[in-house]
Amino acid sequence: MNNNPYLAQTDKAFWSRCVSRNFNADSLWGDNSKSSLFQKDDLIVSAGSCFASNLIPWIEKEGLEYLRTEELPSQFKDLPENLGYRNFSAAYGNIYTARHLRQLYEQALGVRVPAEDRWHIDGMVIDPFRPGLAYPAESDAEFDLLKASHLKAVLAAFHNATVFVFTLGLTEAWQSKVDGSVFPACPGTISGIFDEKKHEFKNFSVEEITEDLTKFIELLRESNPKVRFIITVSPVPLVATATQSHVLLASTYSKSVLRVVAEQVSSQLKDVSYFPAFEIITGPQAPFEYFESDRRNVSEIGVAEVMNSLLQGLTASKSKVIDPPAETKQMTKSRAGKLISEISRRIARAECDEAMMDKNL
Amino acid sequence: MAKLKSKSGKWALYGDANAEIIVCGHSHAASILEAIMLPEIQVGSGPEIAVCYSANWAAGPPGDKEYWDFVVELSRGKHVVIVWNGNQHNANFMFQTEPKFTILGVTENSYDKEAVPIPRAMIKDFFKISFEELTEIIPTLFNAASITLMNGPAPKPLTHIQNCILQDGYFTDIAKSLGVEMDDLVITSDSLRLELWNILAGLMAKSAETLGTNFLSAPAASRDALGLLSPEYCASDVTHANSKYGMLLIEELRKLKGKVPN
Repeated sequence: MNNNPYLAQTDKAFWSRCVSRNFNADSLWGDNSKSSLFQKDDLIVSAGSCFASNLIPWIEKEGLEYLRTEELPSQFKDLPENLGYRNFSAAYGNIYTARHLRQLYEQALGVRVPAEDRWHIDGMVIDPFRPGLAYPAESDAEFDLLKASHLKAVLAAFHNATVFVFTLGLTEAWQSKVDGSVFPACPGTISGIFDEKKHEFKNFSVEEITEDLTKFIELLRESNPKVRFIITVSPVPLVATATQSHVLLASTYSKSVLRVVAEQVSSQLKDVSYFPAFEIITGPQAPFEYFESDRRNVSEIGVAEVMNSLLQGLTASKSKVIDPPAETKQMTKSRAGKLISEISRRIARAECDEAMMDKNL
Repeated sequence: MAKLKSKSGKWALYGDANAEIIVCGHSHAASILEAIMLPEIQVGSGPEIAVCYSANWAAGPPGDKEYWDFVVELSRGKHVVIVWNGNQHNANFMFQTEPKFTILGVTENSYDKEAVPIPRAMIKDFFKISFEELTEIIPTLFNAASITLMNGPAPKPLTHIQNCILQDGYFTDIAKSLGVEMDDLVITSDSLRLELWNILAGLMAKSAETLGTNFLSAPAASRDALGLLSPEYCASDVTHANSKYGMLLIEELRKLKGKVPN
C-alpha cells in the first residue's frame, strides 16, 4: 500500500470505525484530552433558540452556576410566564438569530435604539422584542422602567459570564424596514400588527450571520475579555418557513448555513468552541427516538444524550445516561428515567414562541 | 352584646337584628365592631348598624361557609357592607425579600434604584386570587337592599410597625421559630406598601363594578399627607385600625345607606 495522508488519521476520521460502529458522541468535539468545556467555577450564560434553554437544568444539576441576573422576588415565582422568558440568564426569551443577539447587546449598551421600540395594544405597551411577556407594561412610563431594568440585567449577565453558550436557531427572521431591527417573531403572530410597509422578511446569509456573531463576540469582549464561547446549532427544524420552499428544504438550508457559520466563527476566533448538538441529534447514527413523533421536537432521550456529552468530564464518577445507540432504548428505560424525570417536566413546559407561527400547533 | 348566633355558635351578630346596615367580612370589620360598642355610638345610633363577626374574638376573624350562610340569613332587606380582606399587602410584602422590588408609582424619595421593577400587571395577577371568592358570595346576597364592598385601611407608617415589632414578643417568637434574626428583617418602604395598597383598592373597585356593588374605600380623613393611615387611627398592632377609624367608617356608611339600591 502506498503511503497516503489517510494512513496517519485516527479512527475518528473514518465513518466505518466511529459512526457505523463504536459511536461515541464525546469524540465529536474538541480535544478528547480536555476534560470539559466548563470549569467548576464558571459563571454560565446562555442564549439562543428553544434548544438553548434545555441546557439550564442540566447545568444546575451538575452543580455549575447558571448566572441569573433578572430573577423575580420569591413571592412572584409561581406566577405563570409565557414562552420561557425567564428560563434564561436575563428575561430575553428565545433569541433565534445572531442579528437579534447582537442588537440586544447593542441596545443594552445604549448604542442602539430601535425605531419601533414598543407597540400599544389593547391598553398595554408591548415590547416587540419580547412580545409574549405575560405581564406587559400598562403605560409608557412603566415600559421605560421595565425595559431599562431588563437591559441592565442583560448587561450584568453578559459582562459577568465566563462562559457564553449560544445556540444558533434560525436564518429566517422578520425585521423593521426602517432600521433593520430583528423581531423574535413575525409581528402579528404573538402580538403586534403586521404591516408590510414597516415589516419585511429576511433570510440571513452565511456572511451576514458570521459578521453578526463575530461582531457580537468582539463587542462583548471589549467589556468582558475573558469570556469563552460555546456555539451550537439547534437540531430543531423550522416550524414554518416564509420562503417559497418546502419547509424541509428551507430547514436544511437554514441549518446548513448556521452550521457553516458555527464552523467559521469557532475556527477563526480564540476561545470559541463548537459543540455538535446538531450532529448528535440529526446525524445518521442518531436513533429514531431522538426526535418526538412530530419529527421536529427533540425527545428527552435526545436532550439527555446531548447534555451528557456536553457536561462529560465534569464529574469523575458521573455515569452516562445514554451511550451507543444500540443501547439507547434499554438504558433509557432503566437508568435514564430517574435522571430525566426531574427535568422533563421543565422541558415539557418550555414553550417555543417560534411555534406560534403555526396555528395548528 | 351579641344576640344572634350561627348554628354552631361560632359566629355572632353584634347589635340589633333589626339594624338597617349589616357589616360583615374579615378582620378589618373589627374596627366598626369596636366602634359600635363605644358608649357614644350606642346612644346615638340605635338599631342602625350591626356587625356579624366571631362569637369568640380570640378564635380569629370570619370566613368559613357557615359564616357566609349566616350573613345570607341576616341580609334580607338590609344594606350589607362586606369588609373584604385588606391585608394582602401586609401578608405578602411587609418585609423585604430578595431581590428587592419596586413598582411604578413608588415615590421618588423612597425609590430604590437597585430594586427590581415588577410590572403592575403582575402585582394585580398576584392579588387576583384574593378576590375570587367574592364572585361566589355576592350572588347569594340577592335579598339584600344593597351591597357595599369595603377595603382595609391605608398602610401604617414604617415607624409604627417598627415600634410594634420591637415591643411585641409575638413577632420575635415568630422570627425565632423560623430561624430568622430580627436584625435581618427589613420592613418594606411606606411608599411601596402604599402603592401595593392602591393597587388592591383598584382591584376592589373593579370587583365591585363587575359584581354590581358599591365600593367604599378608606376615608380620606383617615390618611396623612403621604396617604398612610394617620397615627390617631392606628390600633396597637401592625395592620389594623382602631375604633376611631371605625367611627369614621360608620359616618361613611350612613352616607351610603340607601344611596344605590342593589
